[in-house]
Amino acid sequence: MSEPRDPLRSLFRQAADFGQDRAEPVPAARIAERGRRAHRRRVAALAVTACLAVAGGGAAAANLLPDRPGPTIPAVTPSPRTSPAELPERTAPPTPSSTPTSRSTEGASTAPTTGEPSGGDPTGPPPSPGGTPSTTRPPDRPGSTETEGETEGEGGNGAGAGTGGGDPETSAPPATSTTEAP
Amino acid sequence: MKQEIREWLLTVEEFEEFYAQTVARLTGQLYVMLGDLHEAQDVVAEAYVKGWTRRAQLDREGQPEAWIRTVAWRLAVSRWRFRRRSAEAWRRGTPPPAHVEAPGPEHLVLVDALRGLPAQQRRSLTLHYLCDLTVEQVAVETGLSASTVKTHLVRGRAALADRLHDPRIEEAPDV
Repeated sequence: MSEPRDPLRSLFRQAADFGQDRAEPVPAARIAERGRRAHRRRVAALAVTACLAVAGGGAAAANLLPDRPGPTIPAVTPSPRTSPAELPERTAPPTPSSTPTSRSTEGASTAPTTGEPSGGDPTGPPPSPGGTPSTTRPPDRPGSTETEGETEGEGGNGAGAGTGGGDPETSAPPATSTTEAP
Repeated sequence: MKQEIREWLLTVEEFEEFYAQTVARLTGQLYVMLGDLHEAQDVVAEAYVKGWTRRAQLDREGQPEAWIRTVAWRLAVSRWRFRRRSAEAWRRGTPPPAHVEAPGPEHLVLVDALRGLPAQQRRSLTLHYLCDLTVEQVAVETGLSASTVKTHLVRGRAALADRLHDPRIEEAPDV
């Protein structure tokens, strides 16, 4: 330690005393309030960070996990792409998915007999035939054996009809194919 | 549970007591280090706010005053850096607004002389001559080696003697 009579030390003390006397300290309650606010802010930031981490981790895990084998897509797509010679063997499992489209084509040709307004009209507005044909299909089931025979015949004639029949979303391509076939 | 709450409340009370006892002294010390009273008050208050959220840490380390002083100094340094970057940005763009400090009553001779010294020299001098810390303690608080602190003290003392035109300062080496 240095000697107490050091002039530099006394100068430092004078300067510090000057600042100390002129200082207007903030009340302790305000410091405590600011401290609490900072603490709350930090806790909230931590909570938000944790939520984001959990949500991001969940999303990443959902993306990284292998997709479940979809039952419809593998069942529908192979049947029209297969060669016509293998069709009779494979028609047994995919008949439920392939027949409705062929029925819709049948519905287009036999519209007057069934009298269905939405499914039978091939020139109808695009938004309506999306769901109505599927709902009106069950009544046609008794005649499914004939339609299956016809679809097989169409599958043998060309692949375009088969691909059109394999697409369940649109019924327009099969309708055109049926109109062109004769 | 009740005991924990009581300890928590007691800690808050202790902190408030510690604040009341030390805030003026620390403001004076930071004023000497920084040369600006308002700046010293701001950084000391900010350091106490940071200390409030870390009361357990303050108590554990056993030197709460040194902790507050170090945090306040670091806050002041970061503010300097921010201001310097802003000034550089101003200089690059439009000409900066004319800023001339009016000489106030707080412009003491020593503080004016200290302003011309490098920041670490100023800090080392203040810790040694005002806070009565030894060279080793100053080295611990500043994170410098003891020889560097000694060099700061010798050079700072010589520079102050030159600026204050007081040969007694240079003749009284105590480092």
